[in-house]
Amino acid sequence: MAITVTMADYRTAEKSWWCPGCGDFGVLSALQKTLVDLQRLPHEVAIIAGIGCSGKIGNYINCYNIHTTHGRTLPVATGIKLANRDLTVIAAGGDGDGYAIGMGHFMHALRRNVDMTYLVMDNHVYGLTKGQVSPTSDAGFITSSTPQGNLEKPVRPLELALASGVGFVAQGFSGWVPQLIEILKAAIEYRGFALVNVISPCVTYNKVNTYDYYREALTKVEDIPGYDEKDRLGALKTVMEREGLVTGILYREEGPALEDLLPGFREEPIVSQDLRFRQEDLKALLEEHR
Amino acid sequence: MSGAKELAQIIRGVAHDEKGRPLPLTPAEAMALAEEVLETLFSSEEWPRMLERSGLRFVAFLPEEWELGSPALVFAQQWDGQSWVNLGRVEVSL
Ligand SMILES: Cc1ncc(C[n+]2csc(CCOP(=O)(O)OP(=O)(O)O)c2C)c(N)n1
Ligand code: SF4
Ligand SMILES: [Mg+2]
Repeated sequence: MAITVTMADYRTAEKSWWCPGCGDFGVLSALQKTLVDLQRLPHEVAIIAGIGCSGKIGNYINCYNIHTTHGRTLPVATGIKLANRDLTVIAAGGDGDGYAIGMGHFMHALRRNVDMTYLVMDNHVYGLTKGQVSPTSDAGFITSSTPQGNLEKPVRPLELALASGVGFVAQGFSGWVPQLIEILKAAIEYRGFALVNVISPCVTYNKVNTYDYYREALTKVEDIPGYDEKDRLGALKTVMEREGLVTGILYREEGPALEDLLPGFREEPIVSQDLRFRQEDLKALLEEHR
Repeated sequence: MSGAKELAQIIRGVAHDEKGRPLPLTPAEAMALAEEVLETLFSSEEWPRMLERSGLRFVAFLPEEWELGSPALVFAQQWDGQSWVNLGRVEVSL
C-alpha cells in the first residue's frame, strides 16, 4: 500500500521560538506543503540550517536536520548530497548567514552546481542577534550597529546568481505562500543548484521592509508581459531595473548537475556502498608502488 | 469578543500621534480603540494579522489550527527606535 504523506508528518512538537508575524512562519508552512505535495517521505529529506532565527526552521520540520555553524550550510549540504544522492537536500539560512559570513561558499556553490535547493530567508537584518545591519540592508537603514544609517550598498544576491551561470534562480515572498510553494516545488525538482531567495520580513527589527511595503513594491514575473524565464540576460535586466523587487522563477535552464559529470561517481549512493578496504586490494596497491 | 478591556488597559498612557507626542485617551476612548483593533485584526484574511494604530502595533498570534471561536493571543507593541517591544499581551476569544 502506498504511504500518503500529510502535513502532520512534517510537523514537530517543538514550540516555535519566532516572534508572532515573523516571515519565517510563511516559509515554514510553504516548505511543509511543498514536501507534502511532492509526496517526499520525511526520511528522504535533509535540511541543513544555518545560525539565525531562520536557521531554526529545521527544528520545526520533521525530517533530517543539521544545525550547522554560522555561514556553513552549503559546504555541509554539499558533503551530504555527495554522500547520499538519494536525499532531497535543502540548505536554509538567513541573509547574514548566506551573504555575509557564508558569501565565499555561496559564490562557489553557484558555479559548482551540486543538486540541492538553497533557501535564504532574507529579512535585510540580523534577527537573532537583535537587529544589526546585514549585507542586504538598504542604504540608510538605521540599526543598533548603524545608528547614522547604513553607508554601504546592499549585496544583490539575484544578480550575483544570474551572473554566476547557475541554472535556477527564484525569489519568493513569505506573504505570498501559494506562489512560494510553486517556486519551492520547481526548485526541489530542478536538477542542479537552485537558489530561492525569500523575502521574509522581520517584524521586530525592521520597520522599513515590512509586509505592507512589499505588497506594494513587489511584482510577480507572471505579471510582466513577455517575461521569459529562459532568457538570462532578460532576467538580469528585469532584476536590475526593478532593484530586485520581483518574485517568481526568474531563470531556469535544464542541464546536468555536478554529480552527473563527476567521473567515477556511481549511481548507488556512497552511504549504501561497501567501503571496507579488502586485503588483496591493499596488496595490489602496495605492489604497484613498490 | 473578550480581551478588549485588558487591551484597553495596555493602550492607555502609551498611545501617541505620528509625531510621537503622547495621546491621552480616556478609558472610553481606549476601550473603543481596543475594540476596533480586535475587530479589524480578526476580520482580515491577511497574513500576518498585524496593524498599526495610534503609534502602536498590534499582532495577533494564532495557534496553528486556528478557527473562529478558538482563543488567540494579541500582542501590543511599541517601536523603541530599534525594535518593536512588547508592551503586553492579551488572550482573546472570539
Ligand atoms: C562564527 C559566528 N559569528 C557570529 C555569530 C553571531 N551570529 C549569530 S546569528 C548572526 C546573524 C543572523 O542574521 P541572519 O543570518 O540574517 O539570520 P536571521 O536571524 O535574520 O534569520 C550572527 C552574526 C555566530 N553565531 N557565529
Ligand atoms: S527577530 Fe525577526 S527574524 Fe527573528 S523571529 Fe523575530 S521577527 Fe523573525
Ligand atoms: Mg536576516
